[in-house]
Amino acid sequence: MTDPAGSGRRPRVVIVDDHALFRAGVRAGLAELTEIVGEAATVGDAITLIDAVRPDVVLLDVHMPDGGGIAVLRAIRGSSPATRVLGLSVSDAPTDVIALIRAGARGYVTKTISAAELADAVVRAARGEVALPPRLAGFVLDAFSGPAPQPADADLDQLTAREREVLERIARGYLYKEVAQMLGVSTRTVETHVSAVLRKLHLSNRHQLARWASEHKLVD
Amino acid sequence: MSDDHTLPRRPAATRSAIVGRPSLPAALSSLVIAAAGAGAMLASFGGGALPTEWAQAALAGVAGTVALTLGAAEGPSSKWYAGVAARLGRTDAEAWAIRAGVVATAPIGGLGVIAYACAALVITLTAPARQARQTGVFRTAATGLLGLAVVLAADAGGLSVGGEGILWASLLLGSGLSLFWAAAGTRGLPEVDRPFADRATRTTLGLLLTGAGAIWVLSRTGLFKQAEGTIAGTAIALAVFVLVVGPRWLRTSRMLNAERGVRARAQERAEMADHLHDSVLQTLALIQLRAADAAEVGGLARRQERELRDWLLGRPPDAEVLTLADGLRAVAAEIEDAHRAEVNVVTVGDTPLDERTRAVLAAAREALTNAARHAPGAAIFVFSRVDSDGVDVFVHDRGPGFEIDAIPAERRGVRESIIRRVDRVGGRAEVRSAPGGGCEVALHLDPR
Repeated sequence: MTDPAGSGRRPRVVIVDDHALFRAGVRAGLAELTEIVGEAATVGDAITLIDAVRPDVVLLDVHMPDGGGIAVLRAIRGSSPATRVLGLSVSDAPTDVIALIRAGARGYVTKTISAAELADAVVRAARGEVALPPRLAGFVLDAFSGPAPQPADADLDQLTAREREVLERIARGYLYKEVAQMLGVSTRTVETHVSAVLRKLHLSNRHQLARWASEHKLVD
Repeated sequence: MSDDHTLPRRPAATRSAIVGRPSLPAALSSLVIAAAGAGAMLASFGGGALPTEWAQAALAGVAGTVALTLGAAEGPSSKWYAGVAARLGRTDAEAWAIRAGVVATAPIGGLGVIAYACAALVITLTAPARQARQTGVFRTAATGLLGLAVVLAADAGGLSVGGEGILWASLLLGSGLSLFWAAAGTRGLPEVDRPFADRATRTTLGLLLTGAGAIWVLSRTGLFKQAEGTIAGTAIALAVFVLVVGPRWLRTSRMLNAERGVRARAQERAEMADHLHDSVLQTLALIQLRAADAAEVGGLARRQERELRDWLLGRPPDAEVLTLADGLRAVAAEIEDAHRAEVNVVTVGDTPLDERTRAVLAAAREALTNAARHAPGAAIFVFSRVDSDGVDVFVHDRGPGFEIDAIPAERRGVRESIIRRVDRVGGRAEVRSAPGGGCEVALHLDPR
């Protein structure tokens, strides 16, 4: 796993959003801690740009014309696999973002986030950390409750007791390091659990996930 | 909403050109041509120089020319007869090639005429309702008659293939059916000021022509006599009925649906405009007024977002709160408005409100009020979980927290009121300092 932050380099970031005003705001907020290597306002421009500059992190608007963020994610998954994608959403309603997460995003932040928090989230994303806000944690707990689908893949369709504990504390508004303190484990362990949860979110056949995904035309 | 807004209207100038009488030179020239034609025909009948077939062709040609002159006053149009060629051809040249093909193949057993009628039927059924404009009646008659003149001339010259009867029958059937079908779905639309343009005339005329054509076909082919009084006769009558009425019915329902869709969309738009006006625009105005007060602006934006989201999800405003999760969301909204605080609510599972869960809801409200008052500006999180382990609700603020020993007296009172409420229904409540410096209230009910 590459670690641009550890090597002392600022993460290289591309901003993809069709609102110029919002891009300008993000650029100003991120200027200090990251290196903005490009901006794109359309799906086509974004794909070309990301392919050319291979950034560490892409901030990707969920709602865009011409297929939205998902079209970008799909196109760059093959060409730029090391790039981490962080969704940008106007709201934290999981129904808005779940399709993007299923398509491979490393989490999302809401557009109401403060500049400092956004910069922090980008630096963390560059390190490989997953951005799992409280509402998404709650949604995952909801989606993984009830009996597993048949045929079930226990590894993918169930949460472990520990993962539940972690998700629940995130839903209660605690940061990863606070969750670690509460559970008596290291922050790294909490991050590992969250990554495992994200993988399940990507791959599980849970009905609720599949339904949301298909409603957003994610199923091939 | 009146039809005036939903239907495209002709500009006034074109309209008067259609309604207006043919100009004097046009009328005079048509009279001259007609007189010349009639004279020629009388002469030929008198002298016996020309056979009857040629006279018929000449008559049709003269009548067509007259109609064409009158039709010229109907205004410019690329459409002739039913407008099939104008629609099929991408360029004028293509349209004229199609027209020539129709006329040239008409003498071959009525082939061109039948093909034209089929295309007209398909277009009638598939064209968008809005584009189902009719060709002027003089222009239609003119092209029909001129086409007929060519066919008759071919017949007289011995160039036609197939029975003469079939040709006449298909001409009558095609014209009658297209008139009958074209009258469909025009109820309630403004009538165009044109001869034979109104619905009743077109319907009657269409049915008469169709009937004449059908009787012709049946008598010619002998089916009429064979089928009389038999089951086959009933079947044929039914088939004819379906063939005649079916397309018209389809067209009517399609046009009605299109009209209904337009109305429904317009109404939806109006409702949406009303809603946005009352909500989002009002809030934006307020935000501009209070731009200097960041907390107020944040509160306004949050309330508007909540309201807009409920509206998008179809949740009725001020709906009666019946479940714990709804109750928590309502309480959080109330606290956000009252204290300009930011409250994040996450619920997993839900349960109807009863005596016990109402007590938990009341305790959660106390905890939220407490957090908003003592940790101003800090984010507040509400998490609820309902499962086989019972009901758990957590209210967590990321405020400065407190020293357990230094809890102010009035805050202790709040603590007790929270704990007492939940105790009374057999639950547990705990107030504790949270890692990260805030405070967390945990409420629990065992499953029943």
